[in-house]
Parts: sequence; C-alpha cells; structure tokens
Amino acid sequence: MSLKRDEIMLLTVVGTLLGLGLLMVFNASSVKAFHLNGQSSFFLGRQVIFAIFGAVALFLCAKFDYHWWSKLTLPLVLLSILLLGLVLVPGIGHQVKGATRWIKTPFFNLQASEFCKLSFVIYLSAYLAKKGDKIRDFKRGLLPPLIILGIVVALLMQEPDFGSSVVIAALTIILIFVSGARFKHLAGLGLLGGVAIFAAIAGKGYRLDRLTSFLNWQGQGTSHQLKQSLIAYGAGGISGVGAGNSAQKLFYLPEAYTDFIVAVWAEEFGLIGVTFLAFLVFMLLLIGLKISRSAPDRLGTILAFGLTLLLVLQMTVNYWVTLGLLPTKGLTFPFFSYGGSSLCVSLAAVGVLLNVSRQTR
Amino acid sequence: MKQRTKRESKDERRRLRQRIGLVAGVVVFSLVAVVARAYFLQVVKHNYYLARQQSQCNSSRLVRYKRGEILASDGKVLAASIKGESLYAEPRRVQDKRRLAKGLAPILKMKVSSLERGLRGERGFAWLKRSLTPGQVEALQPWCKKEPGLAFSKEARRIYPNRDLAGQVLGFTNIDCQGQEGLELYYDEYLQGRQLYVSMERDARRQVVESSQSAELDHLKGKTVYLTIDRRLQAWAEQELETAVTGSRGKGGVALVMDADNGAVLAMAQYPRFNPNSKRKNNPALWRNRAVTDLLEPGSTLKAFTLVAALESGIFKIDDLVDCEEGKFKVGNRTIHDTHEYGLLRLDEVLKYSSNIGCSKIAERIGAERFYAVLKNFGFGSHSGIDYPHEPSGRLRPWQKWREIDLCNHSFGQGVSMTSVQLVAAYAALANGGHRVTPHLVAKIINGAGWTVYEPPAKKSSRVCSSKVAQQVDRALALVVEDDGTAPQARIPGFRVMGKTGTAQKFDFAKKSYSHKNYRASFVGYVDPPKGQSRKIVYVMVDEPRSSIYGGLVAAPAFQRINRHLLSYLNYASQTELATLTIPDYEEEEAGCSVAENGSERVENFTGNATQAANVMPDFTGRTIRDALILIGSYRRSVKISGQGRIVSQKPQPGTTLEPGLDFVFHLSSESSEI
Repeated sequence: MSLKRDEIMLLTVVGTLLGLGLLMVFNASSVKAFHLNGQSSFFLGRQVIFAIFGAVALFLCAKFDYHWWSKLTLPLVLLSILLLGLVLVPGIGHQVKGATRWIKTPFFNLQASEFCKLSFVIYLSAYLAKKGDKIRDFKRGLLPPLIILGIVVALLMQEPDFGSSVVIAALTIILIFVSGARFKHLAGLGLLGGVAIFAAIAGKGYRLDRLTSFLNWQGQGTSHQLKQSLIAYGAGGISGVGAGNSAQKLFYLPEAYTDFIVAVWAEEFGLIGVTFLAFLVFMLLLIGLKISRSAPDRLGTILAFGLTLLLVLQMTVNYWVTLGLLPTKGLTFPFFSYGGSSLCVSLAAVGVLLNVSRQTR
Repeated sequence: MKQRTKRESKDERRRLRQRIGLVAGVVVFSLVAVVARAYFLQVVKHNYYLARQQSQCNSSRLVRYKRGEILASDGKVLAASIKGESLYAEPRRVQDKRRLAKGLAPILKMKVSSLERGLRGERGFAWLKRSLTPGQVEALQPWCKKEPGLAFSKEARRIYPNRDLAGQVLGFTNIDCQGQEGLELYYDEYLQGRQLYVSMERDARRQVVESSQSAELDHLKGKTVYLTIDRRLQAWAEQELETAVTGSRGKGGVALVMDADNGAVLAMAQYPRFNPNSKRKNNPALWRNRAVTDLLEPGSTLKAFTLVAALESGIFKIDDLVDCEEGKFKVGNRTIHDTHEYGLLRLDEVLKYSSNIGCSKIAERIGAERFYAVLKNFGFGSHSGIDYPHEPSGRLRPWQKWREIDLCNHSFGQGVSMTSVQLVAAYAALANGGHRVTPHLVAKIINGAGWTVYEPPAKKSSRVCSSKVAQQVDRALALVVEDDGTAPQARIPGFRVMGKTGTAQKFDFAKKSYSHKNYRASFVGYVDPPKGQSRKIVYVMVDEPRSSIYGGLVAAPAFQRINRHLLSYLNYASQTELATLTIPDYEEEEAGCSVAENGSERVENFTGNATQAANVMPDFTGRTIRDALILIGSYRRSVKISGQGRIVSQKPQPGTTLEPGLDFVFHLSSESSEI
C-alpha cells in the first residue's frame, strides 16, 4: 500500500498532534494522577491504550471503501440514538460532575456523543450527496436530517451535553449550507437554532452563569476556569515556561488534561507553541480541503469536508473557549485532550479521510 | 437534457467548492484570531498575567525553623520541640459547616458552637485545633478524606520531658514556639529558629510543591542551650525542698545550689512545682521563678556581711567583744530584741548566736557609710546580672537617708531586700575568698555547626573583701553549726560546714508592720570540698513555715541533706563516710532522674522497688521508648510502637494499675525538623 503525498502529510500532521497530545496528557495529568492514585502515568497509560485502539480504527477505516458508508447510514444513526438513549438509562450511564455522558463498560467508559458526532457527519454527508440539488426543497430535502438532528440534540441535552449539541448542530448547518441549501432556509434555520440555544441557556442556571461570566470576563464574576485559563496563556509569554513547568496544572486549572489542555500547552510553550498548534490545525484543514476537492464524487467531497470540519471545528472552538472568545462548554481538543472515545473517533475520522484520499482520481 | 444535468451538476459542484471555500475561510480566520488573541494575552498582557499567577501560587510563607533545645549540664534534654499534627480547615470549601462541626466536636473535645465559629465565613484558612494527640489524628483521618476543606498540618510543639523539673527556671513558649517566660524567654533570640519568608510554589490546594521547598539549613535552626543546672542536683534540691516545706507546713520555698567560684547555678528549685507542659492548668503565680524575681528581706543571713564590714573597716578584730545588753537594746524610741539574752560576745559569737543587738552595735560603730559600701560591694541593692528575665534590683536605700534605727535594722537584715539569687551570689563572693561573681544559668550555647556562640562573660570580677576577712568569716560561719549554734542540724560528720540561719519576719503590708506570725526561714552556707574543688553554696528558704519558724530547724536540715547528695554525687565523700544517712544509690537515682517523675516517685517508679507506685502506669509523654520498655518489662504481653522519637501517647492511660499480661501501645513522634 503506497501512500500519496496528501496521505503522508495527513498522517504526519495527525501523528504530530497525537504525539504532542500524549506528551501533554502525561504532562497535565501527572500531578492529578499522582494525587488520585499515586501513579503519575495513570492517565498516560490509558491514553496510550486508547491511541492503539484508535490506530486500529484508523487502519480499518482507511481500508474500508467509503462508498459503503452511505449504505450504513441507517444502522449508524439508529446505533447512535440507541447509545444516546442507553446513556440515560440509570445503571448504564456513568455520571461525572453532574453530567451523564458515558456508558459504563468493564474496561472503559464510552462517550456516546463522540460516536454520535462521527456517525452524524457520515449520515449527513451521504444524505446530502444523494439528495444533491434537492436540498433546496425544504420538505423533501431539508426536513429529514433536521428531524434526526432534533432527536439527537434532544437526547444530548438530556445528559446534558450542550457542547456536543452545538457542535453537531453547527456541523449540520454548515454541511447543509455547503451542499447548496437556500439562504432563505438557512436564515430560518439560523433563527431556529438561535432560539433553541437561547432556550437551552435560559433553562439552565449554570449555562447562563457561564454566558454572563463570559460576557464580562474581565469583571469579578469571571468563571474560575476561564480566569485560570487566561492566566495560563498570559504566564506562558512568547516562548513558554518550558515543558513540564506549568504551574496552572497544579490544581489551579480545572480540567487541565481534558477540556483545558491547550491552556497548559500555551503556558508551557508560549505564543510559539500556540501558533505552531494553530498551524497544525490549519494544515489539517488544508489537507482535508485538498482531499475533499479531489474526491472522486460528491459523496467523497462532502464526507471529506465534513470529517475535516468535525476535527478542525472542535479544535478551533476549543481554542476560542480557552482564550475566552467563546463561553465555556465541555468540548475536547481532538488528539490532545484525555479521553478514549474522542481519540478513537477522531482517529477513525482520519481513517475515513484517508480512504477518500486513496480513491482520488 | 443530459447536458443540462451536466451543467447543473457542474454549477452544483462549483457552488459546493465555493461554499466549502467560504467555510474554510471562516475557519482560517478563526485560527488567525486565535493567534492574535494569544499574542494579546501572551505578549501584551504577559506581565499582568504573570503577576497574577505569582500572587496565587508563589506564596511567600513564614517558615519558622526548629527551636533549639535546652539541655541540662549533662546534655540531657530539658526542653525540646517535637512535631505534632494540627488540624485546620478551609472554611470556604466546607459545604455543610454545621454537620462538620457536630462531627468533629466529640473528637476534638470542643464545643460545636466554637467549632462553627471557626468554620464561619469564606476564609481560606482557620486553625481548628492545634497539637492533636495521635488518637485524635487517627479519628480525624476519615473526616479529612471525606471533607476537602479539612487537612492536617505539621507543627512544632514544645515539650518538657522532665515535666516539672526546673519548671519555673525553664519557663515556656506559646503555641508558636516563641519564648514567653523563663529561660525560654531570656534566650529566645538564640533558641528561636530563624524565621524566614520563603517563597514557595503552592498548588491550588495550598500544598507546598515538593521541589520548591528549600533545604533545611543548620544555621537557620535554633541553637542549643546548655544549662549549668545539673539534673540530679536539681531533682534532689526539689525533693529536699519539698520535704522541708511540707514538713514544716510552709506555703512554699526556694532552694539554690551555686558554684561559688563562677556563679554557675547548679540547681534552682522551687515549691510548689510547676510543669510547663500544662501551663494552662496552673495558677500563673506558679510560673514565677521566685528565686530570681521575688524580693525578700534576708534577715539574719545578712549578718555575715555585717561581720565582713566590721573586719574590713579595721575597727574590729574577730576576737573583740561586744556587749549584747542581755537581750534588750534601746535605739531611739525603739527596742531591739535578741531571742536569747547574751552578755559579752566575741564578734564570731555574734554570728554564731545570731545576735541582733551585737550586729546593731557593730554597725553603729563602723557607721552607715562604711556599712553601706560593703553591702553595695557584695551586690545588695543592685541586679545580680543573672541571665533570667524580670530580675528586680535589690532594695537598699542610700546610707544618707538612713536613720539610726535603719542602720541597726539593716545590720540584721531588716529593711533591706534582695532576691534569693542576689543573696546567694553575695555568699558566693564570701565563699570564694572575696570575688564578686555573676550568677548564671547558661553554660554555653552551641549552634547547628557545633560552634559555641555564647558563653557567660568570664570577666575578672572585682574583689569585694580581703581573703583574710573572708577566712575569718568562714570560721565564724562554721561556729553556727556547732551544738550551741543556731543550726547544729546543718552539720555533716567529717566535713567542715559553714552557714548562716535566717528567720525573717515578713513585712505585713496591710498592717504596715512586721508580722509576728509569718516568717521566712532560711539557711545558706557551704561545705569545704576537697582541695582544688570549688565550694557550692546551698540555700534553702521556706516561706511561712508553721511547725517552727527558725531557719536552723526548718531550712538547715534540708541544707544538710542537699549537701549530702552533693558530696556523694561529686564523689567528695564515700558512701561509708555518709553511712549515717540513707543516701539513695547513685545508679538508682540516675535511672529515676533520666525520666524524672514527681518527687519520690521518680526513684520508685523506675527502679522497680516494691512500692505502691511501682505497679501504676506512669505518664511516659516526652520520654523515650527505652524508658518505657524498662518499666513495663514484666507486665507486657505485647507492645505496639508506632512512629519514632519520643512518646506522645500511650495505652493504658497513666494511673492504670499494671498487672502482667497487658497490651501496651505507644505512639512516638520524632523530634525532627521545623515547619
């Protein structure tokens, strides 16, 4: 199996992200891990195992003809909904910090929303590729995916997982947009989405708090997480405090090895590191676009773009959150943040992307 | 048709690409915004955020290095610092304060309301209880695991392993190990570990980050203070003083042993005793080291200096006769009495029989100015310079203000006052042949590197009387213990004993006259040691004795017993020479003393004598495990020991009756480092 230039580039970028990610997981979690169970490499060890599983998933997806995915959309969507439903069943769902987002298994906890994100992108790409121009028709084109989106979001909000809901909704709107939907419909959708988001925020006190704390992030009420994240960035300076020297990870920064891991990265490697990481994201976007562009068919184009966006969007949003440019929500930085489901799904997405690339004309 | 679809699909394709490009452009813009924002935070505002970070994690903390030990002259510990656990809370992290207070109250033996007060508010730190017992620590462990706002902190605690041995002399520290009283206060500057603001990195849970903790440096620790106090002599002095006070149903008393050549205090005993380990339980009046801080009228013990003045003046010779007026002598409108009626007495006999009239007549002959000069030379009316806080100056009015009756009164020790130490220091000058000495309690102070950083000033002291006069007074003082002297009970067979009784009426400040009920009975003197050895002044004073008021009867026996211990201990006398007395065996005493207990129990507990006290569990707090194992030897079935260092708690509790087959538990705590 010979690799094309794009594929080598893609694997290089992803490999770099994954390598740095493992370093950061160890770096940011060792103190907490030692505090929890006296073994500083606890989280690293688990993340390495997840990475191995993820690599297998990547390999399998790269081998699997992406056209087949369009025939598997129904089972994928049903499985997603089933998993999201199972999370909510007491005894199966695993609760962390007030949110039930995981399905307990003997070896690991599966985060259903991560699986859902990937399958939804695959389903949507297949649907949009099939419908083609018919997406301009509301009832027959636009409505079906919106109904499924509604079901998925409704289930996600039960966990609750506001971040994943927003990401999936945003991806849906973007993919519908790129596949040629009418601006009229998009405006209506945007309005609907805005109302839904507003309702979700107003309905939960802590989200409102996060929003208000975000809106006056220089004021007193700034959320602790954000304050500590900004301190991490600011203290890093141009070249950072050096690998392993972050002070913010010493329990100041909550979620230092998950949602806010890039803040630790920014503290240790400074503006140079932040720029380098942004560059890697940019490269991932570029390669994804190239694959998408040269994909053999409409399905390949939309699928490649959707998967690229799935990764890049989460990265960018995570960056913005940690920089205080968006309100805090529970979103990971793919390949960096600790978490098996996120890592495996992200690597699987890269696998599908690779397969699209392999079938380039 | 087909072409149209193709064009359409081409349009579609172009539109798709365009829109993808648009979205990608937005993403790229977002990434540029990331870098721009990061530039603002990391370059423009870098110093601001750096300062904020430093203020939250680099807390400079006051580190107090370990306080130095106070050791007896034999190097055994009299005061030491051990590390103990203290409990603190972060009230702002405690959710249910009431529940926590209720749960902790029985363990800490505190009131729920006072605990709640401690937990009140949004503070980040509050001590709940300091110096916990190991049992409490154990009971609190599960609470600390459950409650994130609750934690232990290691703190140094001052302990006095010998308990009330030299309690008042040592004084005590406060809970922060700062000297408050006694030697702990006087030498605080040396004992105190250096206090430094050490900047250290801390995590958000306020724990010091390991790597940032500065290494402990020897020179930052408190210095070790070696006392001149000899533990055994101190124990004997305390024991004999107690016997003398309780035997005479007195209110209290003081006993001193001082090396006459250099002023080193070998023992400074006081009754009632004071245990600095539990100062809260004691009356603050017990803290006072009366030997140093209490002014008292010396009474007849001053007469030795009247004799010195007489001989120094040249007006009198030792065998000159003085008419003692058969017990009554009018001075102005006052009459001076003697206890017995004497006619003509030689100068040394005036001292031997302690004639007030004889002394008055001598003083009148030599005159106030010369008498005053001699008293002043011997240190009366001034500070002795002892290294102990709050020493008052003795009271001796200038001679110009003396009336005739004052001169007479002063000659037998009324109307002047001094501390016991000042009196003993004056006797030391007499005993060493006429040199003033500065009394002192500290022999040397050693720093962490083993260098001596302080020694008592060894200045060549001034001569206050000729050695000839001193010898003549010696001989006169030796008469006091003869059969017809005032203190035959001070005599020790085979040794030349010199001393002087004192039976001073206490001044009743309410009635503004001398009391006829309340006396201070004292005896001060010394025994001739073998050639080449220094004399040791021994002083015993009993306050308000009831069975008898006379120094010769109340204080002299204690003087004699302390001297016997001393002679035997210093190997000046063999056991056989002192056979008439039951002197405790040296080895037994040592075993007893090394873990000093109260009074006579000290010996009995640790020698395993078949006494009542032997089968009662003593309080081992502050002692070594070895001490404990020796005692419990035959009783133990099992012994559990945790930790290392000195014992901080024990099972069974002190006072439990011991019987064979018991299970013992000892918790130890190391005497280690600061913080």
